[in-house]
Amino acid sequence: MAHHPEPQLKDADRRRLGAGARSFGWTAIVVGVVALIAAALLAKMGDGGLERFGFAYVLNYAYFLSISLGALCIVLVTHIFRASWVVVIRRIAEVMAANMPVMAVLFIPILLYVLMGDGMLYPWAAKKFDNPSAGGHHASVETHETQIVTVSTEPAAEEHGGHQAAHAVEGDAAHAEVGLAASRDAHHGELVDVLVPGKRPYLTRSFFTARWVFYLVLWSGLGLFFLKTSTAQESGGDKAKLTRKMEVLAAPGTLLFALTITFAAFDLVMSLDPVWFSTMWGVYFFAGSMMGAFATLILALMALQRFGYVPSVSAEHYHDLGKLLFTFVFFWGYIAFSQFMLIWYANLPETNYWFELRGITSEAGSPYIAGWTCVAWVLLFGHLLIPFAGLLSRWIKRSRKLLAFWAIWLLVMHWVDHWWVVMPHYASPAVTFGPVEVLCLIGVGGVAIGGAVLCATRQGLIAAGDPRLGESLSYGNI
Amino acid sequence: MATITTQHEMDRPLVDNTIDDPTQRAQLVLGGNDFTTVTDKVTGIAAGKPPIGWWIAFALALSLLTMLGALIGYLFTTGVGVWGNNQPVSWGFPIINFVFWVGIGHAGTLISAILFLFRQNWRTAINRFAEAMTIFAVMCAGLFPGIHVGRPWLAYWLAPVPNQMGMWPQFRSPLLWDVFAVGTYATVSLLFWYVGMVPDLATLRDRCKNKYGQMAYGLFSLGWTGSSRHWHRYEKAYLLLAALATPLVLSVHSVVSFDFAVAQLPGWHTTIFPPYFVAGAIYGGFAMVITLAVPARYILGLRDLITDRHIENCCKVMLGTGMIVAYAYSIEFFVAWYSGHHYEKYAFLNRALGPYQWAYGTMIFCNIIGPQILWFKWCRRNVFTIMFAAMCVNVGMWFERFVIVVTSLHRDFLPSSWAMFKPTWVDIGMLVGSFGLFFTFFLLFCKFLPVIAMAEIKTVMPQAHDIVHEPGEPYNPDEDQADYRPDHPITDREGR
Repeated sequence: MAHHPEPQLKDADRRRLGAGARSFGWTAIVVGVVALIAAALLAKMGDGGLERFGFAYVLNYAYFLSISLGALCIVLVTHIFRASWVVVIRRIAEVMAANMPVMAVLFIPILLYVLMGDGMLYPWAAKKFDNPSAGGHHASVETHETQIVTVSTEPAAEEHGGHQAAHAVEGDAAHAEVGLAASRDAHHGELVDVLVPGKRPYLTRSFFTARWVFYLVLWSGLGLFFLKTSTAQESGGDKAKLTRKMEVLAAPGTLLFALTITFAAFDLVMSLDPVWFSTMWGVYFFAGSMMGAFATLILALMALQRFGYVPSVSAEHYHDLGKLLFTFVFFWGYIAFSQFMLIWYANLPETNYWFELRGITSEAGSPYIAGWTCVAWVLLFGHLLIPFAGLLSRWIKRSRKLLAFWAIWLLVMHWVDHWWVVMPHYASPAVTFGPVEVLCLIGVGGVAIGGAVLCATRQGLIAAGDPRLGESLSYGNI
Repeated sequence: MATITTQHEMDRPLVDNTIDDPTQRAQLVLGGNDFTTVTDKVTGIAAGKPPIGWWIAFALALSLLTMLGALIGYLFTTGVGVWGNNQPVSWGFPIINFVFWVGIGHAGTLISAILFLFRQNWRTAINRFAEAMTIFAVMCAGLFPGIHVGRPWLAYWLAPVPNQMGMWPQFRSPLLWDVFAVGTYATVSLLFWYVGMVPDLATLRDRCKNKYGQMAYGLFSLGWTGSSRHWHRYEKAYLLLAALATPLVLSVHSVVSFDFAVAQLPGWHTTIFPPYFVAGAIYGGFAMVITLAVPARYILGLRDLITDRHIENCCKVMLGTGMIVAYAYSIEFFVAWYSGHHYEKYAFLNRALGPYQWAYGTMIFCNIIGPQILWFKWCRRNVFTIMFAAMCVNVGMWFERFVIVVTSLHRDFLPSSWAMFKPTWVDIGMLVGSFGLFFTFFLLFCKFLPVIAMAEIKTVMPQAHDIVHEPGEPYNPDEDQADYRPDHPITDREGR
């Protein structure tokens, strides 16, 4: 019996994005820049000032960065596993990952906030922070004395009195009363005073800048390497050799990726509150990133297919993408639950206040049980339980309409997750949502998506030179 | 157990299937085997007389098991004071051994469930004995908390049995969650292993010449005839069990990690514990898979079925999970410093530089430094370097639990309550004895049950796919890719 004929790409699979896409890309970038300027002006003119703009910007930057990082991870890991199912759809992930130079440009405003040195966004970036004696009563780094850290927030000062008293008797510590959190005054006021001196070598403006230059250069390098190498397979390179090159680089690349995404998550989000720490934080950020990237990948493929591109992407590919989307819904829930449960169960004041600020507290009558509490419930159901049930069935993952619905739903939830993580540092228990956040979403999103679309126009939309293309076109799910 | 390797087989050049060629998939069954020779090889192990090596190993394992039994008797009649456990290290060897053995089991579930869902077809050669390993490892694990309860005749109180005393277990204790997690895990693993074995048990039944063997295999093969309906039900059940077992890979060791992480003790209370424990479990489990598979493929003559590529893939998985463990160690250390928390910092410095630095050093060398040789391909192909790395991890993962349990407890908050932990001879004897328990069962499994999933491995052979060979026609591997495609598309390309 003869071989099955090797499946081939259709002509339409080789179609490239044309002038329409280019003008869409540029329009998105222009709209994005205008939206960002509008958001900044709006914020400056009263709606929270530049501080609010900064938080809204970090929130949206983290959101879009996470999606690009997730895509980079998809590319890296599928090379390690010599996966063939992914070949037909990998180019889109490659483009999303190769968008890193745009994300590097988008990082500049955050860098400016840090370098300004007033600690508006990152309290540790304040110039006053540089001088340990400024705070007066702090232990110096050399003494290695315990820093007992308590939360004091203006609206809740009374309620937290009990906590502080409890700490006062504990240990031989110098006290650092941290007025992080809730009110804006806390950010500007005593916060600059209250440092955890041990972190000073890590949380400095110059080291932060150096780290981010390293991260962004590394991610850009990896993203562009995989896109360029994969494109070179189509333009006559030795296909097998180029694939091997990518596979070999993917292993150390993943290692570097894991470390950089972790520290980037610490720097970008966790250090908004220089006191709080969680070893799980990098994994938490990663879990959401992967989910966001799969959801984006699904929607990008469907959008392209609407315009007649990549017709060879079949229900099998969507089925697999849907399974992985489901996997990371579950994985995010597992990580988020573990992080929450362990902090809640041990109930240590230096970490549990982070959840209190986000509306999760069992303290009766706490002023924090308010808007953010509702958001936390929305996350539990909307980010985990409902999509878990929704994506469970096979036919849903194979139905384009339903899969698109869940991808959009989860992208919204991914944003809500970042919102719930970032914005309580700006204000809690008050929930901040308004035109500034929306304009920043449009702004960062416009530039990021516009950049990705422009990047996508420069090569074919399917990694047509991959030696495993045939397998990718012909496999099927059970 | 008949010696399977013939002179002819020893002479023929071994095909190197570890070469990574993106243009074709490597063959997973070598040596020109067809369905018949695969069945012959695997059933031959169960039907033949065991070689002398098996008898020696079995005698050794059985004596260790006997020693374990004697020590348990001594423990029951004397009390847990025969162990080194005492304040402040009230959790000594028993919990270390428990976590160690539960961890070993995880590789079996990962191979049988997660790699199945990931369509990693190379798993078919090693999944059967990896699953068996899971069952026996969970038995060893379950033993330790069971005999640690102090009054073992009341161990059933761990289960929430309705009773007239109105007495219930402490549901807020992660130790109770362990009872549920490990109980579920043992049940599902056993079912998965058994269900997967039914077609192969039927093969043994059909080939068995001994009356008692026929009865036993017949009983357990549940009347399997190999009809299409049987296969259909079987595949469905297998897929469902794989999907059920997958979250268990995460949940069991996460719950085990909660035993430590819900406490407020520095060194235990850290949020990364659940995924870190899971990765460590798979790491240790794969080391055990390699430890068993590498000798087994030589002794049982299975080198064509468990090929160099299988071993290389196991090495890669081990390296990958090892890097996750290294990541967790690093992040733990960094965050202990970053927290600025006096006790956190002390706990970690004490691990690295305190009185147990030898244990910490052993852990770092065995888990992080030694296995790095597996980055090099020649080390993944040389039996000595492979076994060196696997042995490193076996030792290292035990020491990891030792470091977590002992160094965190022995110096907690108040220096006045600090003390050193010293294991007694009973502690050490029981650890060694637990290997006796494990290997006794494993050797019995090797003798009496199909060590390789015959029905599954046949699906990854090219004969199962695109080409139909005329009888007697020599198989030419170049004719087609040897890749496993168990599931040809059953839908139209366009959509549903």
